Amino acid sequence: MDHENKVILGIDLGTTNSLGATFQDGVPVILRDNENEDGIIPSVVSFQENGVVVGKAALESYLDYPDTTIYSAKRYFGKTFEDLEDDLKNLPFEITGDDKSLKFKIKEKEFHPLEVSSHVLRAVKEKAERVLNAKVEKAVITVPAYFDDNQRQETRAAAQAAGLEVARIVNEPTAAALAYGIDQMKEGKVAVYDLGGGTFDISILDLKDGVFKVLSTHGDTFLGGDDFDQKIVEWMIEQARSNGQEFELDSHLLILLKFAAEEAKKRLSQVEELPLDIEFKGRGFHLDAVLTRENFEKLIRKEVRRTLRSCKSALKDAALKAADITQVVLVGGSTRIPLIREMVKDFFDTTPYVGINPDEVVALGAAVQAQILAGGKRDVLLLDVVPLSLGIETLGGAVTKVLMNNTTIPASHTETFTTSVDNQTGIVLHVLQGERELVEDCRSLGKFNVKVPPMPAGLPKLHVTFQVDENGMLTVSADEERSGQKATIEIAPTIGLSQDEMNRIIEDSIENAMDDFQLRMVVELRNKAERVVVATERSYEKAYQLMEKEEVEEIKVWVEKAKAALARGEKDQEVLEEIVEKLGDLTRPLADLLFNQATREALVGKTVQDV
Amino acid sequence: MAQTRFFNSENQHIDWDFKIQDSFDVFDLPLNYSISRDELESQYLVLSKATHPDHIQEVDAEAKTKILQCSSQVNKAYRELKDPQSRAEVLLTRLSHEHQVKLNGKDLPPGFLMEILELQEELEDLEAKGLTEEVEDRLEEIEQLCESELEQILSKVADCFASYDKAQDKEQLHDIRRQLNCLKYYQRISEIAERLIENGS
Repeated sequence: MDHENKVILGIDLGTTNSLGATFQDGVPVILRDNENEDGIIPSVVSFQENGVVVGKAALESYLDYPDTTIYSAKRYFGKTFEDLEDDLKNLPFEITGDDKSLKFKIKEKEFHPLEVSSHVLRAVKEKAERVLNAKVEKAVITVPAYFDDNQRQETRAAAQAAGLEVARIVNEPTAAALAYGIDQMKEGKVAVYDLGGGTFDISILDLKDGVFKVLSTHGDTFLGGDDFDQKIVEWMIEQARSNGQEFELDSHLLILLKFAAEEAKKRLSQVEELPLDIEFKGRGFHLDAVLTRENFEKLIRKEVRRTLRSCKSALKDAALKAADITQVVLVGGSTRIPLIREMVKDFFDTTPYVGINPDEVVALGAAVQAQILAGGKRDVLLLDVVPLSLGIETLGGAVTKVLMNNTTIPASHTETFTTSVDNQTGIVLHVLQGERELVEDCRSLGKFNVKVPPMPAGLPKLHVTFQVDENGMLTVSADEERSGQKATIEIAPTIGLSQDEMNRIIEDSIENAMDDFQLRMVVELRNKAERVVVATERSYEKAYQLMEKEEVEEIKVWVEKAKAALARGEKDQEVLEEIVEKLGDLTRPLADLLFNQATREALVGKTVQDV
Repeated sequence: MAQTRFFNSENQHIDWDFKIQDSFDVFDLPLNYSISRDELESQYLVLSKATHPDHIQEVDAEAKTKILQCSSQVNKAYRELKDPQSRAEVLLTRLSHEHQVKLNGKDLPPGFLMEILELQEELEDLEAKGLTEEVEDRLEEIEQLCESELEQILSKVADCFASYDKAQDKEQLHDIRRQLNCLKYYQRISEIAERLIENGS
């Protein structure tokens, strides 16, 4: 067989974190810059004066750019402003739009969510190229199983804008099952419960003879860890206000509360109660309270119940009972929450499998699928499904389903339609996605017109074929039997983005790709240098206590060098790299101590200066 | 697996141009209503591995389209044959076509519509009452009733197909058609009952 031996990257484009993985020596591995690194690129994009900063660097400089830093862009894929109006409160960044679009507003510019995510994808790609020391142009990218066609199309477009050809869009729980199956190689019915930062999926699969057959899938594309954080933030605000405090909720305060909430949520998986002492001097905000695990569980119980309702639906669609499930696999960071483990365990009456890191399993599965597509793995096959029914608008605003949800892909089906009025010269085909019976309750995927020769009503025979390919992408074609009129459309993204705009984003990104990359490296290095300088200067006193005098003097020499470089706006990447590296090496003994203190202080809301 | 007319398991060769009439052809099954689920399942897995686009490195657009159509066809055939009702429909269409029997898609057993009408009226009454515990119990009863009717009909259908195999009496085909026509009504009733329970809770 003749296929090019090129790397296909597996990418988990997560709401909160993104990861890349490849297949090496028969197993999928996460790409890490060094073995101590977790490989995670936080899905955070910060728009700064000097350029775009992504990932950990964006998180680290968050406090300086609270209103131009976007997190969880993926949540907004395929949504309009109108869809989400009620959920857009208390966010540190600004969102605009109407009933057709949704954009992030940063200073005077507007950005589509896919544009923001393309920066994350580009960062994953660049990391992979760095680690593998090879060019990467193709990727398998995962999406929540319950993503509709629009959301999938936008994911695809984001990848294109990042300079990646999409070898396949794979559903996250299915990818997780692949990684799990490869790891365990057990046969049976597996339920993958995937609760991430922004989305929830449940998929039920049948593993047999190397075939991973998805039986059913269900979920909620707007339910995840972000919502739990938000619940804690609201609780914090309420607590503070109940003390009669008055304060203004600005970006800065909100982002700090979000960080504190996220940290508190994580801690509460370990401890039963957490004292919180968060103070913002000059803003009149002071929270001194205890959040117990029990209280936190009360805040999120309703959401967790919602996930179990999805599990029930998925079981029903797979024609199975909870007792038929041989293994439950937990995926996504939110499944570390004890309440969730407990409720899932009770629901399926079996202890969930947690053998693979829930943060990594999706990326690993994407790498397995990449290997299959590269032709390197023929013993495994994935049979995925259409997550949501696809249909056509018929008389009276009703939806006639052409392909039902949970139909195995590739899939095709033909339905025959006719006219309702005499001498009608055209039939409008309105393609819809969703389980509900009325057009207004389903997601519109596009409309197109098929000409028919004038005939009495009911006489024309229009055969409409829905073809869903192995990527889950839909093509609708129609032909009229008597006249031979034909029409075909490939369903394209329709949410708030014209084809022109889309082309513009892709062109921009390709043109700027090189500049961007160089610039970003320099910006990131400068930010890093600045942080190290500030942190080091603050801790000279401690350094003298802990280290030899000569060592501290040497640190001081390099700190001065760094300050000089920053002052002159150094653009040479190598010079900056040397400074950052040297300072890093010299201050490493102090770093752990400082880091621990910094995070502890962030949680109680004091700044490092106060220490 | 047994070799089919369009797939040779020996050399993994697929005849992409093979004209498939219906789902029975895809799996090359004899025209019987009763099939072995296990065998269908294992054949499906083998055929999927052979036809799925993931396993074929193909760049030519036309060939790709054929592969896509073929794997869609395999999936559809499995879907249709696995489910007893759609399997009966496919088989009935095939048999009536081969023996040139014209069947009436609206034909129903005598008295059937009255039964359905009564159920429908009862559902309307129950809806008007609102969902009390009593109403919910009755709705569940109706759901169960529909389910057992569906089972009975399918077992009758199986019997008819079996006797048709022996005697080729065309009247059996008409009877099957009538039975299958009934299924839709019970399904509809069951759906309404289910929706009422869901909306109420």
